[in-house]
Amino acid sequence: MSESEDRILAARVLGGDKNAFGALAAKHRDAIYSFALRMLGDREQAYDAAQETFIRAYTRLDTFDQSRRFRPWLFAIAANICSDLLRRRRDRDITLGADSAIHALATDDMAPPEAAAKRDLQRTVAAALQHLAQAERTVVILKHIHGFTYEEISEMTGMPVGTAKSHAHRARRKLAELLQHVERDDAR
Amino acid sequence: MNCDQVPLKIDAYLDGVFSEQESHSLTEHVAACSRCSAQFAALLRAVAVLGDLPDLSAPGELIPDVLQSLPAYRPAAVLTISARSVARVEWALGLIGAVGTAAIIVALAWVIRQVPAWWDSLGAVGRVLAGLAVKAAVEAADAATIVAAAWSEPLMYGLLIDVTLLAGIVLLLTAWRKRYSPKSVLLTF
Repeated sequence: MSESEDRILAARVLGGDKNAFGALAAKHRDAIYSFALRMLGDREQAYDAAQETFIRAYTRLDTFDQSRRFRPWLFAIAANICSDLLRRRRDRDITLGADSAIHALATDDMAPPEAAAKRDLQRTVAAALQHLAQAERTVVILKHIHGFTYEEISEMTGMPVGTAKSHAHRARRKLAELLQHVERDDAR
Repeated sequence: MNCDQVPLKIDAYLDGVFSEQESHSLTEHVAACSRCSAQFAALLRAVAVLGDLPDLSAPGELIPDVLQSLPAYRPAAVLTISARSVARVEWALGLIGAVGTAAIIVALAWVIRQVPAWWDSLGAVGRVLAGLAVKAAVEAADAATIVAAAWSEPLMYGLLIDVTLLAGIVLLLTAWRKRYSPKSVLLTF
Protein backbone atom coordinates (compact mmCIF):
# COMPACT_ATOMS: atom_id res chain seq x y z
CA MET A 1 0.00 0.00 0.00
CA SER A 2 2.83 2.38 -0.81
CA GLU A 3 2.72 5.91 -2.09
CA SER A 4 4.94 4.93 -5.00
CA GLU A 5 2.32 2.38 -6.03
CA ASP A 6 -0.25 5.20 -6.07
CA ARG A 7 2.01 7.31 -8.27
CA ILE A 8 2.62 4.44 -10.69
CA LEU A 9 -1.13 3.77 -10.94
CA ALA A 10 -1.85 7.48 -11.40
CA ALA A 11 0.73 7.69 -14.19
CA ARG A 12 -0.85 4.66 -15.88
CA VAL A 13 -4.29 6.29 -15.68
CA LEU A 14 -2.89 9.45 -17.26
CA GLY A 15 -1.48 7.24 -19.97
CA GLY A 16 -5.03 6.12 -20.76
CA ASP A 17 -5.27 2.92 -18.68
CA LYS A 18 -8.76 3.04 -17.16
CA ASN A 19 -8.27 -0.28 -15.33
CA ALA A 20 -5.41 1.25 -13.37
CA PHE A 21 -7.90 3.73 -11.98
CA GLY A 22 -10.04 0.81 -10.79
CA ALA A 23 -7.03 -0.49 -8.85
CA LEU A 24 -6.26 2.95 -7.46
CA ALA A 25 -9.86 3.51 -6.33
CA ALA A 26 -10.15 0.02 -4.84
CA LYS A 27 -7.05 0.70 -2.76
CA HIS A 28 -8.60 3.77 -1.12
CA ARG A 29 -12.26 2.70 -1.31
CA ASP A 30 -12.83 1.79 2.36
CA ALA A 31 -10.87 4.76 3.73
CA ILE A 32 -12.78 7.28 1.61
CA TYR A 33 -16.13 5.64 2.32
CA SER A 34 -15.38 5.55 6.09
CA PHE A 35 -14.37 9.19 6.05
CA ALA A 36 -17.54 10.19 4.19
CA LEU A 37 -19.75 8.08 6.45
CA ARG A 38 -18.22 9.53 9.62
CA MET A 39 -18.53 13.03 8.20
CA LEU A 40 -22.09 12.69 6.94
CA GLY A 41 -23.62 10.05 9.23
CA ASP A 42 -25.68 8.58 6.42
CA ARG A 43 -24.81 5.51 4.37
CA GLU A 44 -26.54 6.62 1.19
CA GLN A 45 -24.96 10.07 1.20
CA ALA A 46 -21.58 8.57 2.10
CA TYR A 47 -21.87 6.24 -0.89
CA ASP A 48 -22.69 9.15 -3.20
CA ALA A 49 -19.88 11.24 -1.74
CA ALA A 50 -17.34 8.42 -2.17
CA GLN A 51 -18.50 7.84 -5.74
CA GLU A 52 -18.27 11.55 -6.54
CA THR A 53 -14.81 11.70 -4.94
CA PHE A 54 -13.43 9.01 -7.26
CA ILE A 55 -15.09 10.44 -10.37
CA ARG A 56 -13.73 13.90 -9.59
CA ALA A 57 -10.31 12.43 -8.87
CA TYR A 58 -10.34 10.74 -12.29
CA THR A 59 -11.33 13.84 -14.20
CA ARG A 60 -8.83 16.02 -12.34
CA LEU A 61 -5.96 13.58 -12.13
CA ASP A 62 -3.88 15.80 -14.42
CA THR A 63 -3.79 18.38 -11.60
CA PHE A 64 -2.25 15.88 -9.14
CA ASP A 65 1.37 16.78 -8.44
CA GLN A 66 3.13 13.45 -8.70
CA SER A 67 5.97 14.56 -6.46
CA ARG A 68 3.49 14.63 -3.55
CA ARG A 69 1.38 12.05 -1.71
CA PHE A 70 -1.76 10.87 -3.45
CA ARG A 71 -3.77 10.09 -0.29
CA PRO A 72 -3.99 13.68 1.03
CA TRP A 73 -4.92 14.87 -2.47
CA LEU A 74 -7.75 12.33 -2.65
CA PHE A 75 -8.94 13.11 0.89
CA ALA A 76 -8.96 16.82 0.06
CA ILE A 77 -11.48 16.08 -2.70
CA ALA A 78 -13.57 13.95 -0.34
CA ALA A 79 -13.47 16.62 2.40
CA ASN A 80 -14.60 19.23 -0.10
CA ILE A 81 -17.49 17.11 -1.33
CA CYS A 82 -18.63 16.27 2.22
CA SER A 83 -18.42 19.94 3.14
CA ASP A 84 -20.65 20.86 0.16
CA LEU A 85 -23.17 18.16 1.08
CA LEU A 86 -23.30 19.31 4.71
CA ARG A 87 -23.75 22.92 3.59
CA ARG A 88 -26.60 21.93 1.27
CA ARG A 89 -28.14 19.91 4.10
CA ARG A 90 -27.92 22.95 6.39
CA ASP A 91 -29.39 25.24 3.73
CA ARG A 92 -32.36 22.93 3.26
CA ASP A 93 -32.59 22.42 7.01
CA ILE A 94 -32.49 18.63 6.69
CA THR A 95 -32.07 16.67 9.90
CA LEU A 96 -31.26 12.99 9.69
CA GLY A 97 -33.40 10.59 11.64
CA ALA A 98 -31.80 9.21 14.78
CA ASP A 99 -32.13 5.61 13.56
CA SER A 100 -30.35 6.39 10.35
CA ALA A 101 -27.52 8.17 12.13
CA ILE A 102 -27.03 5.53 14.79
CA HIS A 103 -27.10 2.72 12.27
CA ALA A 104 -24.64 4.51 10.05
CA LEU A 105 -22.24 5.31 12.83
CA ALA A 106 -21.94 1.80 14.19
CA THR A 107 -18.46 0.43 13.61
CA ASP A 108 -18.05 -2.08 10.85
CA ASP A 109 -20.77 -4.71 11.07
CA MET A 110 -18.60 -7.14 9.14
CA ALA A 111 -15.65 -6.88 11.53
CA PRO A 112 -14.99 -9.94 13.70
CA PRO A 113 -16.56 -9.62 17.15
CA GLU A 114 -14.19 -8.02 19.63
CA ALA A 115 -14.53 -7.40 23.30
CA ALA A 116 -18.02 -6.00 23.85
CA ALA A 117 -16.78 -3.16 26.04
CA LYS A 118 -14.29 -1.98 23.44
CA ARG A 119 -16.89 -2.12 20.70
CA ASP A 120 -19.37 -0.17 22.81
CA LEU A 121 -16.73 2.47 23.46
CA GLN A 122 -15.98 2.71 19.76
CA ARG A 123 -19.66 3.08 18.96
CA THR A 124 -20.04 5.78 21.59
CA VAL A 125 -17.09 7.77 20.25
CA ALA A 126 -18.14 7.24 16.63
CA ALA A 127 -21.66 8.46 17.43
CA ALA A 128 -20.27 11.41 19.38
CA LEU A 129 -18.38 12.58 16.31
CA GLN A 130 -21.72 13.60 14.82
CA HIS A 131 -22.29 16.07 17.64
CA LEU A 132 -19.07 17.95 17.00
CA ALA A 133 -19.00 21.10 14.90
CA GLN A 134 -18.24 20.31 11.25
CA ALA A 135 -14.71 21.74 11.31
CA GLU A 136 -13.89 19.93 14.57
CA ARG A 137 -15.22 16.67 13.16
CA THR A 138 -13.27 17.07 9.92
CA VAL A 139 -9.98 17.74 11.68
CA VAL A 140 -10.31 15.11 14.38
CA ILE A 141 -11.26 12.41 11.84
CA LEU A 142 -8.41 13.31 9.49
CA LYS A 143 -5.89 13.60 12.31
CA HIS A 144 -6.74 10.77 14.69
CA ILE A 145 -8.53 8.22 12.51
CA HIS A 146 -6.71 8.66 9.19
CA GLY A 147 -3.40 9.82 10.62
CA PHE A 148 -2.76 12.99 8.62
CA THR A 149 -0.47 15.71 9.95
CA TYR A 150 -1.79 19.18 10.79
CA GLU A 151 0.15 20.54 7.82
CA GLU A 152 -1.57 18.09 5.48
CA ILE A 153 -4.96 18.88 7.02
CA SER A 154 -4.27 22.57 6.55
CA GLU A 155 -3.54 22.01 2.85
CA MET A 156 -6.59 19.78 2.42
CA THR A 157 -9.08 22.06 4.09
CA GLY A 158 -7.52 25.47 3.52
CA MET A 159 -7.58 26.32 7.22
CA PRO A 160 -4.39 27.55 8.90
CA VAL A 161 -2.38 24.97 10.89
CA GLY A 162 -3.11 26.79 14.17
CA THR A 163 -6.86 26.72 13.48
CA ALA A 164 -6.72 23.00 12.67
CA LYS A 165 -4.94 22.39 15.97
CA SER A 166 -7.53 24.39 17.91
CA HIS A 167 -10.34 22.37 16.32
CA ALA A 168 -8.59 19.11 17.18
CA HIS A 169 -8.00 20.20 20.78
CA ARG A 170 -11.63 21.22 21.27
CA ALA A 171 -12.91 18.04 19.64
CA ARG A 172 -10.67 15.84 21.80
CA ARG A 173 -11.83 17.57 24.98
CA LYS A 174 -15.47 17.12 24.03
CA LEU A 175 -14.93 13.43 23.30
CA ALA A 176 -12.96 12.98 26.53
CA GLU A 177 -15.74 14.62 28.54
CA LEU A 178 -18.24 12.30 26.92
CA LEU A 179 -16.13 9.28 27.83
CA GLN A 180 -15.90 10.49 31.42
CA HIS A 181 -19.72 10.80 31.50
CA VAL A 182 -20.18 7.33 30.07
CA GLU A 183 -17.76 5.86 32.57
CA ARG A 184 -19.46 7.63 35.46
CA ASP A 185 -22.82 6.30 34.28
CA ASP A 186 -21.40 2.79 33.94
CA ALA A 187 -19.97 2.99 37.46
CA ARG A 188 -23.43 3.70 38.97
CA MET B 1 3.00 23.21 36.90
CA ASN B 2 -0.49 24.15 38.07
CA CYS B 3 -3.89 22.78 37.00
CA ASP B 4 -4.59 25.72 34.63
CA GLN B 5 -1.51 24.88 32.56
CA VAL B 6 -2.33 21.20 32.26
CA PRO B 7 -4.83 21.28 29.33
CA LEU B 8 -2.34 23.12 27.10
CA LYS B 9 0.42 20.72 28.08
CA ILE B 10 -1.80 17.72 27.37
CA ASP B 11 -2.64 19.17 23.93
CA ALA B 12 1.04 19.56 23.16
CA TYR B 13 1.70 16.04 24.44
CA LEU B 14 -1.05 14.53 22.25
CA ASP B 15 0.18 16.54 19.25
CA GLY B 16 3.66 15.14 19.80
CA VAL B 17 5.31 18.52 20.37
CA PHE B 18 6.63 17.97 23.83
CA SER B 19 10.08 17.97 25.44
CA GLU B 20 11.24 15.31 27.87
CA GLN B 21 11.34 17.89 30.65
CA GLU B 22 7.76 18.99 29.99
CA SER B 23 6.68 15.38 29.89
CA HIS B 24 8.31 14.80 33.29
CA SER B 25 6.61 17.80 34.92
CA LEU B 26 3.23 16.81 33.41
CA THR B 27 3.57 13.25 34.70
CA GLU B 28 4.53 14.54 38.14
CA HIS B 29 1.53 16.86 38.30
CA VAL B 30 -0.93 14.26 37.00
CA ALA B 31 0.31 11.71 39.53
CA ALA B 32 -0.43 14.13 42.34
CA CYS B 33 -3.74 15.63 41.08
CA SER B 34 -6.76 13.35 40.73
CA ARG B 35 -8.79 15.84 38.63
CA CYS B 36 -6.03 16.37 36.06
CA SER B 37 -5.23 12.67 36.14
CA ALA B 38 -8.84 11.80 35.19
CA GLN B 39 -8.82 14.46 32.46
CA PHE B 40 -5.51 13.23 31.06
CA ALA B 41 -6.64 9.59 31.10
CA ALA B 42 -9.92 10.44 29.35
CA LEU B 43 -8.10 12.37 26.62
CA LEU B 44 -5.61 9.56 26.10
CA ARG B 45 -8.47 7.09 25.90
CA ALA B 46 -10.43 9.24 23.43
CA VAL B 47 -7.40 9.49 21.13
CA ALA B 48 -6.72 5.76 21.49
CA VAL B 49 -10.33 4.86 20.65
CA LEU B 50 -10.31 7.16 17.61
CA GLY B 51 -7.06 5.60 16.43
CA ASP B 52 -8.55 2.12 16.86
CA LEU B 53 -11.70 2.80 14.83
CA PRO B 54 -11.54 0.48 11.85
CA ASP B 55 -12.20 1.47 8.26
CA LEU B 56 -15.78 0.63 7.36
CA SER B 57 -16.26 -1.69 4.42
CA ALA B 58 -17.63 0.17 1.43
CA PRO B 59 -20.44 -1.56 -0.48
CA GLY B 60 -19.02 -3.90 -3.10
CA GLU B 61 -20.73 -2.11 -5.99
CA LEU B 62 -18.97 1.20 -5.27
CA ILE B 63 -15.97 0.70 -7.57
CA PRO B 64 -17.95 -0.90 -10.45
CA ASP B 65 -20.40 2.01 -10.17
CA VAL B 66 -17.53 4.50 -10.25
CA LEU B 67 -15.92 2.85 -13.28
CA GLN B 68 -19.25 2.84 -15.09
CA SER B 69 -19.77 6.54 -14.36
CA LEU B 70 -16.35 7.68 -15.51
CA PRO B 71 -16.49 10.05 -18.46
CA ALA B 72 -15.53 8.55 -21.81
CA TYR B 73 -12.52 10.79 -22.27
CA ARG B 74 -9.34 10.10 -20.42
CA PRO B 75 -7.77 12.69 -18.12
CA ALA B 76 -5.78 15.38 -19.80
CA ALA B 77 -2.44 14.39 -21.19
CA VAL B 78 -0.06 17.27 -21.34
CA LEU B 79 1.84 17.93 -24.56
CA THR B 80 4.49 20.58 -24.73
CA ILE B 81 4.94 22.36 -28.03
CA SER B 82 7.80 24.78 -28.42
CA ALA B 83 7.03 28.44 -28.97
CA ARG B 84 9.05 28.32 -32.18
CA SER B 85 6.75 25.64 -33.63
CA VAL B 86 3.70 27.62 -32.59
CA ALA B 87 5.19 30.78 -34.20
CA ARG B 88 5.88 28.90 -37.45
CA VAL B 89 2.32 27.63 -37.58
CA GLU B 90 1.05 31.14 -36.83
CA TRP B 91 3.16 32.67 -39.62
CA ALA B 92 2.03 30.02 -42.08
CA LEU B 93 -1.62 30.42 -41.13
CA GLY B 94 -1.31 34.21 -41.33
CA LEU B 95 0.27 34.03 -44.81
CA ILE B 96 -2.33 31.56 -46.09
CA GLY B 97 -5.08 33.74 -44.62
CA ALA B 98 -3.74 36.94 -46.22
CA VAL B 99 -3.22 35.37 -49.67
CA GLY B 100 -6.61 33.65 -49.48
CA THR B 101 -8.41 36.83 -48.47
CA ALA B 102 -6.73 38.82 -51.26
CA ALA B 103 -7.66 36.13 -53.82
CA ILE B 104 -11.29 36.12 -52.67
CA ILE B 105 -11.50 39.93 -52.85
CA VAL B 106 -10.00 40.02 -56.37
CA ALA B 107 -12.25 37.18 -57.59
CA LEU B 108 -15.32 38.87 -56.15
CA ALA B 109 -14.40 42.22 -57.65
CA TRP B 110 -13.69 40.60 -61.04
CA VAL B 111 -17.08 38.81 -61.04
CA ILE B 112 -18.89 42.04 -60.11
CA ARG B 113 -17.02 43.89 -62.87
CA GLN B 114 -18.30 41.38 -65.44
CA VAL B 115 -22.02 41.80 -64.54
CA PRO B 116 -23.20 45.36 -65.43
CA ALA B 117 -26.25 45.17 -63.15
CA TRP B 118 -24.08 44.25 -60.15
CA TRP B 119 -21.47 46.87 -61.11
CA ASP B 120 -24.16 49.56 -61.37
CA SER B 121 -25.62 48.58 -58.03
CA LEU B 122 -22.28 49.32 -56.33
CA GLY B 123 -21.92 52.78 -54.89
CA ALA B 124 -19.09 55.08 -55.88
CA VAL B 125 -16.82 53.90 -53.08
CA GLY B 126 -17.57 50.25 -53.88
CA ARG B 127 -16.69 50.78 -57.54
CA VAL B 128 -13.43 52.46 -56.67
CA LEU B 129 -12.44 49.64 -54.28
CA ALA B 130 -13.50 46.82 -56.61
CA GLY B 131 -11.80 48.57 -59.56
CA LEU B 132 -8.62 48.98 -57.55
CA ALA B 133 -8.63 45.31 -56.54
CA VAL B 134 -9.05 44.14 -60.12
CA LYS B 135 -6.51 46.70 -61.35
CA ALA B 136 -4.00 45.62 -58.68
CA ALA B 137 -4.41 41.97 -59.60
CA VAL B 138 -4.10 42.69 -63.33
CA GLU B 139 -1.08 44.88 -62.78
CA ALA B 140 0.56 42.30 -60.56
CA ALA B 141 0.04 39.71 -63.29
CA ASP B 142 1.40 42.15 -65.90
CA ALA B 143 4.38 42.90 -63.71
CA ALA B 144 5.16 39.23 -63.35
CA THR B 145 4.95 38.79 -67.11
CA ILE B 146 7.20 41.79 -67.70
CA VAL B 147 9.74 40.55 -65.15
CA ALA B 148 9.79 37.13 -66.75
CA ALA B 149 10.20 38.62 -70.24
CA ALA B 150 12.78 41.26 -69.39
CA TRP B 151 14.93 39.25 -67.01
CA SER B 152 18.30 40.98 -66.80
CA GLU B 153 21.19 41.40 -64.41
CA PRO B 154 20.29 44.92 -63.16
CA LEU B 155 16.71 43.79 -62.54
CA MET B 156 17.97 40.76 -60.60
CA TYR B 157 20.15 43.00 -58.35
CA GLY B 158 17.17 45.26 -57.75
CA LEU B 159 15.03 42.30 -56.74
CA LEU B 160 17.81 40.94 -54.51
CA ILE B 161 17.97 44.27 -52.63
CA ASP B 162 14.18 44.27 -52.22
CA VAL B 163 14.13 40.67 -50.93
CA THR B 164 17.02 41.38 -48.53
CA LEU B 165 15.18 44.38 -47.09
CA LEU B 166 12.02 42.34 -46.69
CA ALA B 167 13.92 39.48 -45.02
CA GLY B 168 15.51 41.99 -42.61
CA ILE B 169 12.10 43.30 -41.59
CA VAL B 170 10.79 39.75 -41.09
CA LEU B 171 13.84 38.82 -38.98
CA LEU B 172 13.41 41.90 -36.80
CA LEU B 173 9.73 41.11 -36.27
CA THR B 174 10.57 37.47 -35.43
CA ALA B 175 13.22 38.51 -32.89
CA TRP B 176 10.75 40.86 -31.25
CA ARG B 177 8.09 38.14 -31.09
CA LYS B 178 10.55 35.65 -29.59
CA ARG B 179 11.51 38.06 -26.85
CA TYR B 180 7.95 38.66 -25.77
CA SER B 181 6.56 35.17 -26.37
CA PRO B 182 6.36 32.35 -23.80
CA LYS B 183 9.09 29.67 -23.93
CA SER B 184 6.54 26.97 -24.60
CA VAL B 185 2.85 26.42 -24.87
CA LEU B 186 0.97 23.68 -23.03
CA LEU B 187 -1.82 22.02 -24.90
CA THR B 188 -4.19 19.71 -23.05
CA PHE B 189 -6.41 17.14 -24.71
